[in-house]
Amino acid sequence: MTPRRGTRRCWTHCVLALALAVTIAGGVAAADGEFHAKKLVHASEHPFQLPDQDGTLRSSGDFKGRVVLIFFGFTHCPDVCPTELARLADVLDRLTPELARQVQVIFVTLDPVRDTPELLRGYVAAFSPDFMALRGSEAETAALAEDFRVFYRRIEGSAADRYMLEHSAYIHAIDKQGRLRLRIPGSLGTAEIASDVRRLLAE
Amino acid sequence: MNRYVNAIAIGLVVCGIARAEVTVSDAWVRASLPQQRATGAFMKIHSNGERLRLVGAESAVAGVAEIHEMRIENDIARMGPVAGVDIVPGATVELRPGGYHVMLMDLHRALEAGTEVPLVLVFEGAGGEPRRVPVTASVKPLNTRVGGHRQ
Repeated sequence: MTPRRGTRRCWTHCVLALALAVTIAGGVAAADGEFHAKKLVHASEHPFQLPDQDGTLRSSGDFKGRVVLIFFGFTHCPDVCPTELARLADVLDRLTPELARQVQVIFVTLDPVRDTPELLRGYVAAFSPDFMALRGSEAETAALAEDFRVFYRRIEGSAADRYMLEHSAYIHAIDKQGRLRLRIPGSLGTAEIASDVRRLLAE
Repeated sequence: MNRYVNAIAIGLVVCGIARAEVTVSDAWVRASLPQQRATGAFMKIHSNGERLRLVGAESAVAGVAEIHEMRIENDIARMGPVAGVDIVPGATVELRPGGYHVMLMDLHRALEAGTEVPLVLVFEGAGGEPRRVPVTASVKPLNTRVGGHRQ
């Protein structure tokens, strides 16, 4: 063991130095304006107009000047949807109240048949009083999902109304000019998402 | 001390000594809203005896309970029923968000945070009758987040 100790120490130092270099490089890269989330190559507007949980028609143009975080899901989703909405609430908590007011979180239901406006009202409110739900017809939902390149597919259950929906699990970020900018994967931590949101707000 | 040993011994005799011990802990259910017909139940399962397989569940609050899995594949949330979850002796299997859960469907009522929900887990062992293990799960708020900074 003893003769190897020097070698092992050298390795430890090398690994530490490498880790430090990576950390510094990462820090510098982030400071240079890199986002943690996946940046879309072509930032473009994806207009939408759908009623919210109170029946008020909302247009994408209404949110200009703010950053919009959109998640597509359904309320009968036992796992990923509530987790992502809870994460989005945490993202807002990480911002100053002033910045948080400049962010709109939107939950778009992929299941307008079961997700009634009343259900959506209670659902988003369970996460934050400031969250908004949008609900289109089945055709409008399909068109919007396609425009955002959100995949979803109905998985039939043991009875007609027990179906599940497989769906894209990322959050979309729209900048203050209404352009779709980021795809945020579920693996990204809320501190990183908050950092990306601050960056978008600072533009 | 002797009294406890006797009690345990009697307990073992009553239960049938050969049976493996299954422990279910930290069982919880995500709260649901009045029109929501489904939610998930999560828990830790440990077997210190034989190898078991969780094959089903029942609950008085739901018309149907199934063992489901959610997994992220290429940023897509895949979900649906699984035939069973193996409970290897000595290991603790966790049913948690981002993995397996007991899917409670056709809910008879809204499940309010702070209340409790009865569940029965159904296990298959090496042979014989399926084992039915009653569990009490606590209902946690809808916005419960596991593995993050806030619960």
